[in-house]
Order: sequence, then structure tokens, then C-alpha cells
Amino acid sequence: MDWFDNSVFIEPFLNNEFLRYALAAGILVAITCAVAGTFVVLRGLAFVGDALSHGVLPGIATALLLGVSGIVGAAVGAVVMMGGVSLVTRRFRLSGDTAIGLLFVGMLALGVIITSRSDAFVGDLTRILFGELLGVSQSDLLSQLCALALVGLIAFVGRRPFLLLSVDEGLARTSGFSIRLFHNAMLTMIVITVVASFQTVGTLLVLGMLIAPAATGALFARRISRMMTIAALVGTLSTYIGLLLSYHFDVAAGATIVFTAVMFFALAAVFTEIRKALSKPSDGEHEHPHAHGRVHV
Amino acid sequence: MTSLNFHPTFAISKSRKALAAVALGALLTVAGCSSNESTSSSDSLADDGASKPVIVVTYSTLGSIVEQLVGDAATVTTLIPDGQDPHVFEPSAKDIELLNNASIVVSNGLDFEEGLEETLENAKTAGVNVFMAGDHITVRKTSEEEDGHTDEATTDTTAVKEEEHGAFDPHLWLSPATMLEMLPELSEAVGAAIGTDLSVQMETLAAELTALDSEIQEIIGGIKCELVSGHDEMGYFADRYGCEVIGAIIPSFSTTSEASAGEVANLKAEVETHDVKAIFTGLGTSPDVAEQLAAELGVKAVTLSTHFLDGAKTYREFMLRMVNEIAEALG
Repeated sequence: MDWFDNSVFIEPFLNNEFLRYALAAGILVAITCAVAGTFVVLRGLAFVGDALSHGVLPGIATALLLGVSGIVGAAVGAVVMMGGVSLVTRRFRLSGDTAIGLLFVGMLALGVIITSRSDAFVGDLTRILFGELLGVSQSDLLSQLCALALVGLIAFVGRRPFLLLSVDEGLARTSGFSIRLFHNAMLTMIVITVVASFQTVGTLLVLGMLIAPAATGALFARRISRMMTIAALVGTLSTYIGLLLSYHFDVAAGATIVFTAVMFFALAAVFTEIRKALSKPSDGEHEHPHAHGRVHV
Repeated sequence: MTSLNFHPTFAISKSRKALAAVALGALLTVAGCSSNESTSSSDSLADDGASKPVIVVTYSTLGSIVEQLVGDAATVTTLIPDGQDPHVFEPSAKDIELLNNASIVVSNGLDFEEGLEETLENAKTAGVNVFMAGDHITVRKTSEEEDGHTDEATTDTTAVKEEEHGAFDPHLWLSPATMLEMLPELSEAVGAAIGTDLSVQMETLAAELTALDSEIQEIIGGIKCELVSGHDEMGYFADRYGCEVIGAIIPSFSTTSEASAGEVANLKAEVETHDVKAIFTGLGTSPDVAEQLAAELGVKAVTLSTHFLDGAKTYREFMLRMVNEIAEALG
């Protein structure tokens, strides 16, 4: 069989609406994650994202039990989680990661407790964590599109402060804008991304989409806009390749997509290392944005 | 590199009270739910049966049969509450205590109660009397190589558990004829455990199951019975009543697997060739996937209760409701 056969690469999508929906949803998630994820990577918020992905569980579980929209539950869960973290850090002077860890495990446990003894629980924890990409509906696409619009808007409005917060908080302090406000805005972006994703790739797997493509972008680019572009491309490609693998090899869709994205990073990292080794005698100036100075807008 | 140090400075202090209120609300909601739960799940325990022997049955459809069999002679408690997925249910400490103190435990046994496996194993080792229904019926199984193709499933007259490869179909309760098959041994084992002769009750129940079997045959006989289900659960039923299993969203005997794009696409093609009128879905299967698939094919997605009584008072009522729903959707 010809490797570039249409029947291998295109036809699965032409023949199956559910795959087209999954692809569309995955691409929307990839772009949303590229925008939010770039700041997550630059500001080092991966752990908060991780915590949020579990923190929304009890909210979603309770919402589904009460017959309310899961998104509402997830949003409440996220607010409770972030509120709890801030309460612990500000009242008891414990470090941020202690507070996040506490809330993270607490919320996860609560989610398991709620689902473990509930009658008629629709869907279960794994489906929230790993999503139902193959069951995406038009309304899911719409809410994912809304999430993208919101995240894009926040990123656009806050682009300058976000950049300063990401590269140099000291400088950000002296520049006159409210650090807390923009930090919260950044967290809001992550919350929106995680909350919207629970119907598509799942709250846990979205973390992979948030970090892996953005980290790949950070390997190659120094300008935030380019990082986001690369991240969006990597995320989109991962979605396409992941779905194709899931189709041809009968493996779980969401997990395959995220794994592909992480593999993209691994390949990119190896590629960067090799390039660095080859150009060693001269200057290795344009490699690591973190290693040398500033990121540009 | 200050940028990568995380400073937890979020949240606006004004909103702290609001947040606390939300958190409290959430906790109260949770507390409310869980208290409802505990009253409903333990009601069978609260019966007057302090002196009566206790029979623990793992899930409700089988529990209903045992209840009918023993009548007032014993207290029958169902371990897995209705609404929970029996494939994945994990027991609480109280459940294990209950199970360990039972006169006899009746379970499915064919790797059905995956979350209870260890508990049952331990109980058996400790000397608890465990009756496994799967040991007393003609077991359907699929070998690994042909997995996914239910029509190729083979049956075997003995419960050949030694054979390592191949999976056993645990959904034996979906055919009254299969239930009938294990009934004599069930009633003997239970009767011995509680010290009561159950042969009269067994005769009555056997007559009822036989009648139910012909009733179902009549209903299903009137339709072109082609089944697409959530997971691979309709095998015993299909074998008995001459239905054809076209496929399942999760082609596995258990709900713990996940659907892949390839499998859903295959199923779609199968449904199209057979011109099936409805896709049945239920516990453990993603309703979203079923609904999206049904919408794409222009057929109905029908939620079917196959794994627990779901409000039905008896096994008979449960089976007839399911059969009528199938007939209505495909008729």
C-alpha cells in the first residue's frame, strides 16, 4: 500500500463525522492550549494547572449528580480550589506548592468520594479525566470555541503584563500594573482551558496539551507570538496524528493525542541538542530562550 | 530566572467570604447527597432480620432471584447499589465486613465484579461460603484472537476456568434460560447454607422463569432483532432469542475498556450495512459517543438498563422492561 494513500490519511475523516468533530475539537483545544500554555510554561504554572485538572473533579461530579451542566460544576470547583489555595498561603504562610498540593489531593479525594457512593452516577471519573473525544457534539464544539475566544481575549488584553510577569517579576513590580490582577487573569485563562476541555480531551489530558506543545515552542522561539504559533501547530498535528493512530491501531484517542504531543517535544529536544552540538564551535546564541536573556513580544 | 519561581499571590481578599460561602455550599450539597445514599443503600440491612441468616448477593438482578428463592427464610442484601457499575464497584469497609459475616455469598464469578475480586478471594480463603453463578452455567466465551466478534463466540458446557486465554462473558442474567440452568444448584447451596429446604420455592421460581422465557421469545420473535450495545453485553440474550449482535461501542465484556476511533468507525460501517434502527447504550458507556454516532447514522440512541434492576421490583419486571424497550426501538 502506498504510504501517502488517501485511504490512510484522509478518508477516515471524510467517511466519519465523529472523527471530523473530534479533529475540530482537538484543534480548538490545541489553539486554546497554545495561548494559555505558553504563559503556563514561561511563568512556571504547570503545577497549578495539574492541580486544577483534579480540582474541578468534585465540581463536575456534583453537577452531573444534580443534573446541572458539568461546565458550571467545573467552574465552581476551580473557584473553590483557587480560593482554598489563596486562603492557605495567605493565612498560614505556607508555600504555594504546599497549598496547591493540599487542595489538589483534597479535591481529588472528594471527587472520588462523591462518585464512589452515588446512585445513578452518569459517567465516571476516568471519563472526566480522559474525556470523550469521540463523542464530541456540535454544542461541545461551540463551547470550546467560546473558551478559545475568551482565552484569546484575555491573552490579547493582558499581553504586555503577562510577558513581564513571565520573564521578570521584579521588573513587573516596578512597571506600575497590578501583579495580582494579571496573575489572576493568567490563572483564569488556565481555568477556562481546563474547564472547557473536560468534554473533549479530559481534564487530566488537557495538561499535556497545555504544556507539551508550548514547551516545544519555547525550544525554538523567543517571541511569544512565535511560541504560540509553534505550539498551536504542534498541538494540531498531534491531534491529527493521534486520531489517525487511534483509528488505525484501535487505541484510546485522547491519550494517543497527548502522548504524540509529548513525543513531539522529545523529538524537538533531541533535534535542538544535536543542532547545538553541531554549531558548538561558533555561538549557540539562538537556542535556549531561557538560557540567554529575554523573551520578546 | 525569577520568572520561573512561583509566587502564590492569587485571589482578591474581598472575595474570600464569597469563596468560603461557595465552599460551604458545596460541602453541604455533598453531605446532603451522601446522607441520602447511606439510608437508601442500607435499608435491606435494617430489616427485622437480626436473627435471620444473611445472604449477600453482589448485584441486584441476581439478588432479586435469590430474594425470590429464599422468601422470608433469610435476609438478602445486595452489595453493589443500583446505579453503580458492577464491573468497577469498589467495596467499602462495611461492605467487606458484611460479606465476611454472610451465611453465603452469591456472586457472578465470571470476572464480572472486577472491583470485588480481591475481597471475594479473601473471603473464600477465610472460609466464607461463596456461590459463583458462572460455575453452574454454560459459559459463553471469546478467545483473544477473535475478540470483538461476538458472533464467533463459542460456548462450552463446562466452566473451563483453567483455560487461560479467552474471556468469559459474565452477562448471564440477561437470559432467564441461563438463570434457570443454575437454579437447582443455587437453591441447593443457599438452602444448605441457611438450613432450609428450598425445593418448593425453587419449583415456583423455575416455573416463573420458564414462563418469562417464553414471554420474551414471543416479544422478540415479532421483530428483526439486531443489537448494537454499549459494551459486549447482549451475548446470552442474543443466543437464546435468536438475535444478532452487530457490535458494541466498547467491544469488550467489561466497561473498563475505552472506545477507539477505529472501533467506532468499524461499528458505524456494520450498523450501516445491517441497517440497524437503534443503538442501545447504558451503564459504563459514554452516552456522548453513542449519541454522536446515532446522530451521524440517523438512528435512535436508546438508554437500556441491563446491569441493575433500576427501579424494577423483580427480575421478571426488569427483564420484561428491557425486552419491551428493545422491541419498541427495533420494531
